[in-house]
Amino acid sequence: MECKTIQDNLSAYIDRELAPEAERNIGAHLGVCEQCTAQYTKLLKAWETLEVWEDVAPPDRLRRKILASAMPKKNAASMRTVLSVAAALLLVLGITAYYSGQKGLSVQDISGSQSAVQTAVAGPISEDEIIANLLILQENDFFEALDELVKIDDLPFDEESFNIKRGYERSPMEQVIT
Amino acid sequence: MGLIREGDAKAFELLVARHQRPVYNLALRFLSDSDEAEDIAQEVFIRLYKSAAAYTPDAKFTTYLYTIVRNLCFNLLRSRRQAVIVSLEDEALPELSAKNEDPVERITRQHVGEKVRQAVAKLPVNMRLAVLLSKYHGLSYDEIAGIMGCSVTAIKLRVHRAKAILAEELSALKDETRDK
Repeated sequence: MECKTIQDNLSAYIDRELAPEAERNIGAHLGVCEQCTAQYTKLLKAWETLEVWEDVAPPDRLRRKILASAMPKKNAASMRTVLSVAAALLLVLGITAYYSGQKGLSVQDISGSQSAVQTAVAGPISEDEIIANLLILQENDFFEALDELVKIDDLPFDEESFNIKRGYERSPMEQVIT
Repeated sequence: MGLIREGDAKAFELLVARHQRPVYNLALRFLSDSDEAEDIAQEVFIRLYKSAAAYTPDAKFTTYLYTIVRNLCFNLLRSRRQAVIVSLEDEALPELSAKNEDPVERITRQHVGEKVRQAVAKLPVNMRLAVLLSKYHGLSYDEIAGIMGCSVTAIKLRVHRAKAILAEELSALKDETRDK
């Protein structure tokens, strides 16, 4: 092999990137050629000197930043859970406050020294009372909704015929109202 | 990546723990800026996480990983509008392997380390990246070619030229240290 070919392949020889046969040929040549050996030594030393530039540890915050920015949904999901629980608690407290009011307790009574939970425990409500109150609620809501509906000139569809087509039966309460 | 695709957060944390150091160091050596290296490393893993569903193991994972690093680094260089290497003086010095090193040896080592960084920073970007991937990440020419989107022959030539340039730069350093 010519020295030019050898020297062009010295870098790959250092990196062990040559085929076994080419590697053997260059090894043999270096044993007899001072010029190529000098070039080989120069390249090898420079390459080895690069090892002085060692790795540095990434800053500790990097891992935290990566996880926080790549998986923000995890936090959002947790927040949604917390909000759901909070909403459920508020709903329970609201219902409790409402029924406590039905039993003669004012809102001030609940928001005062006695907590809503204590109120709920102190005044058990019978099932009949709850059903009766729900019916009142439904009727009130229904009449309010009806008042709103009569204000609308053009309804999107004929509800009566729609219900007939779908085999929908009116509830006893609806039959009484109409 | 398969586990990450299935939403396994622990798998992603493990992947970050395993690869953040090489990713950060590649970006740091390439860009010579620790803040930018940190940003790049962060972005690499965000992209990995987001692309987990589309990931197909056609090549080695590290090839995929370093391709993202390469693309982001090159984009950053383009956004700088010039591939000028910022001063290295503010950057952290490399960790010293020997804690009880002689002060003179330590200073010499730091000096050599600084010269090495300057020499590498002077290399053209494609040559520099090839050198970094070969020397510090132990990748084969074939893998580097896959990352850089060129032929193995081109990588062989780049690394060879880079070594010749570095040999010239660092031979001056050897004379300098010998004089001291």
